[in-house]
Amino acid sequence: MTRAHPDNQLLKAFAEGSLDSVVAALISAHVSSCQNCSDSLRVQEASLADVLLEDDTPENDLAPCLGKQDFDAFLNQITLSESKPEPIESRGTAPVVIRVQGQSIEVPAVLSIFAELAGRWQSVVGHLWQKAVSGHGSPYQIDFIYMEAGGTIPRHTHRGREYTLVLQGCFSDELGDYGVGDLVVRNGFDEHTPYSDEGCLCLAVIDAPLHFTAGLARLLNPFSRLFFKSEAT
Amino acid sequence: MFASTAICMTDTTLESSNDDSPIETTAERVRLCVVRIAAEKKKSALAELMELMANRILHFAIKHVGDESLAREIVQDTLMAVWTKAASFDQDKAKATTWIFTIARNLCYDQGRKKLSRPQLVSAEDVYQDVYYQDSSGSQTSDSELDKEKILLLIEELSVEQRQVVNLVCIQDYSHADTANILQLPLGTVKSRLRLALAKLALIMKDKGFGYD
Repeated sequence: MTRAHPDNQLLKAFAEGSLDSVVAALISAHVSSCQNCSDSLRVQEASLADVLLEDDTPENDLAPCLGKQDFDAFLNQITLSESKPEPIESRGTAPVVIRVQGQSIEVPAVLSIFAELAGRWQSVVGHLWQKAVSGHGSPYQIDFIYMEAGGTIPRHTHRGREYTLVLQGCFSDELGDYGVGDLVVRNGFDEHTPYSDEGCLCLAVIDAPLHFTAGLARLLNPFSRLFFKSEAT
Repeated sequence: MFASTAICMTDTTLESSNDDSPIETTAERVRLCVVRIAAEKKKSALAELMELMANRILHFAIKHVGDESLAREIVQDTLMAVWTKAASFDQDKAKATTWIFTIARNLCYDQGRKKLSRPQLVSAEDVYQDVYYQDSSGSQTSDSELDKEKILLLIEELSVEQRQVVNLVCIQDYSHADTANILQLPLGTVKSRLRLALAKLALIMKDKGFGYD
């Protein structure tokens, strides 16, 4: 198993809080199952906290933040407030599952919204199935992809970025083999032919149409924009 | 009992930082503020924390949400969260400054999205796990828990000053140095009060026949 992880740049953006909610959710799901990335994330957070401290605004110069009166008022507001324990907003404890070919596959809690917004399974070609996620309002096309054993996605490259998170089973491409929890990130320079020997359920996110580079699939390319359903406003 | 007595008497968390860089000094001051808030909800500790961190958090928040009044709210919410949650923060898991950064970061993540009307498919709470808090299950052995309960009963018989140091060092597990800071006493005073308190406790236990020799 090769393993696939978000690179340092992506982890840093995640640590900073500057990723959009779709990519952030994918990274969060990966980090929950990857000790190395979880540790790297802690290191990133510590380093960003140090950067915060490097801000050398004079410590006693409160003018940009709070005047003296505001400072005292604010201090009292916090210290005199009745600190009630924060209500825990739970989304419900029942795990969300994706059902495919007689299996019920549990989806990580952070991704449950995508499962809830997903439509029905639709056959793409041969051993490949797609369950479109709609109503998310992001500038991406988001799908659950199921490759049956022996299934493949025709050779393609990407006009933008492609994120694939493995939820169950495993798939491979020219660069490696990926199992549950792996997050495979590909961009415009990568050309690949994903396939699965044993079957694989993934969540796939693309920000631009795929460009097919071999076989009959190439005939689809002029129409690829029609097949690409982003929800950018 | 003697095992935990021995631990009380040695300062196992010697925080002598040889690194005098301004960042390390500020980080240490922030840590002590958080410790004092956690132990005693000291208003002066919160005031000092505000002086140290408010502007820094503000600049970070402005960079991320782009709106100064929203950024100020984030500063206030961050400091409020520190005030209410300091007692559950686990010092062993991260620096206090890192913890505070993550609180501000989570608020920016949620508020920034709202402000820009970006889709809020997942909240900061879903995306970022709370890893810097103490486990509520606790990692204490049942032996040391029993010892602590016994100590709680026994310290009723000590003077107020002795009770204070035993409580902070032996029950709440603060280092001697942090205890000195919390009580605003010289380190030597803390150590000698602790020594006398424990000697008195030993006598009490012998009298009460707890079975310790």
